[in-house]
Amino acid sequence: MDAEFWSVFFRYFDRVIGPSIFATLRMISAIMIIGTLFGFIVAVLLILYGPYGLDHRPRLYKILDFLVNSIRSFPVLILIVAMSPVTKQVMGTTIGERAAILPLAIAATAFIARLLENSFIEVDKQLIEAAQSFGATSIQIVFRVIVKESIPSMISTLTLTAITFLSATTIAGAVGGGGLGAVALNYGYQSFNNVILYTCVLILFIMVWFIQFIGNLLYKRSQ
Amino acid sequence: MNRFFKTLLLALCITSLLFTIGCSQQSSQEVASAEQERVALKIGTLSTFEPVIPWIEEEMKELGYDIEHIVFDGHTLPATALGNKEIDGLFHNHKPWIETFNSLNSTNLVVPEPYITYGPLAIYSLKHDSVEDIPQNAQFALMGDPTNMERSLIILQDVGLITLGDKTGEFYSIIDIEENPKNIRILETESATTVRSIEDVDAVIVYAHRMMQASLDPTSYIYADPESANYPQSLVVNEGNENEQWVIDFLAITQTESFRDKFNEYYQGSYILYE
Repeated sequence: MDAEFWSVFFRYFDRVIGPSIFATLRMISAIMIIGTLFGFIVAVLLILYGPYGLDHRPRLYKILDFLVNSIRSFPVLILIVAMSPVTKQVMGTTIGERAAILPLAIAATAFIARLLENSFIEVDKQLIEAAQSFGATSIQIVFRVIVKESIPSMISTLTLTAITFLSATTIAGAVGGGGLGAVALNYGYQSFNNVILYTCVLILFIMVWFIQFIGNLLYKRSQ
Repeated sequence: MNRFFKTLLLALCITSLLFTIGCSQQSSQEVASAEQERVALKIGTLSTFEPVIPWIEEEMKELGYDIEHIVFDGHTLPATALGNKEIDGLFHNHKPWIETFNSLNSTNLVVPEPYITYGPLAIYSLKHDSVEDIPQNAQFALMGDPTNMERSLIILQDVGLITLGDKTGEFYSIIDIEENPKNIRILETESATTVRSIEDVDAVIVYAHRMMQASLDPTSYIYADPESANYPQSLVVNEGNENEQWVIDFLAITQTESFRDKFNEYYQGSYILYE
């Protein structure tokens, strides 16, 4: 651990690892914001139109259900490459961070939608019936009863998703998205540089730990 | 439950039956070849050179050799199989790769001359016609794995776009770039996807073969690395076998005019035969 080691290490940190931390953070934030927004909308529609829903519409439900299942059946890497013509149209490029965000955000949308639907279903039916007897509309029941009741489980769902998709961003290197995964693989493992490899792992570990910490904190507050 | 076991039993019976048939067929083949005193050879390859082997196979048949070619799907698999003497030869990896493989594993694989072919590594661009035309802030997609990254950076230095300082790690990487007057931005991509980014960037550095796979002209490069010829891809055998008659016959076939014509027609310049 002499001075030379540290100067080399800081050079790597400055030019390779540092930018990749920001790349990973940008990707995971974008994925989570888009995924949560659309995942929530899809989950609300699923619960409204679903078999136990307040406004049961079998055909619409089946279409949505089919879409969520189809997206969820793609392994993330395959989704990234299979979607590249769509990515080109929407984002204007098939490479780099922006190209990785779209497929991952779509995968996250489906993932969040399914998990949130599951938490919504868990809400006590008697509560819903009680609200109905007071004359509440479907929209009121969804937002004032179902969503409100499942806030703690929504928080744990989003924590889980953030950690799952943090590891998914490490695949973004396949389309030149960079990020810690690509650095760990190219500059660490394949370059026989264990310092870089385990530094990246440690940073990912800290990120996971931090996400879980915030998740737990919010979960406690929400109860 | 009863039905489940019956189905399971049936499935087991069928599998074992198929297995027995498979084994007995193999042994009968071996007997047949022994009777005719023909030499059976197993050559390993990957999909890239798979079409080449049948051309050689045909010619070798007349000389009394029966080649069975085995297509692997990972770079190290044929070399491992050859090191274990499960196959007699392989045609895929380039010579420096084989040498590294030897030093990391206790194998003694050799590449006998004459060499067959090499794949040029080159700069391709759909936007610019020459290296001089490459503008300020141009984006280059390179293959991100360290060996290819190192070769690509050296190419960028050779054409005068960047200069490299001392190697920091085992390989040259972007942290070793010292001067970058045109502020070339480098995008590190997975080697299999680099060529796909050609429409999105100013230029890519890829193997000519990748261009052919992407239905682009492999000879349309704006600069080809002259070093490429030092990476021969040829027949690889275990040390001690390099002077065997079948190796000499195999390589002799690759030097014939009819083989060269077929090869060049198929690979359209994405692989170059040695003169």
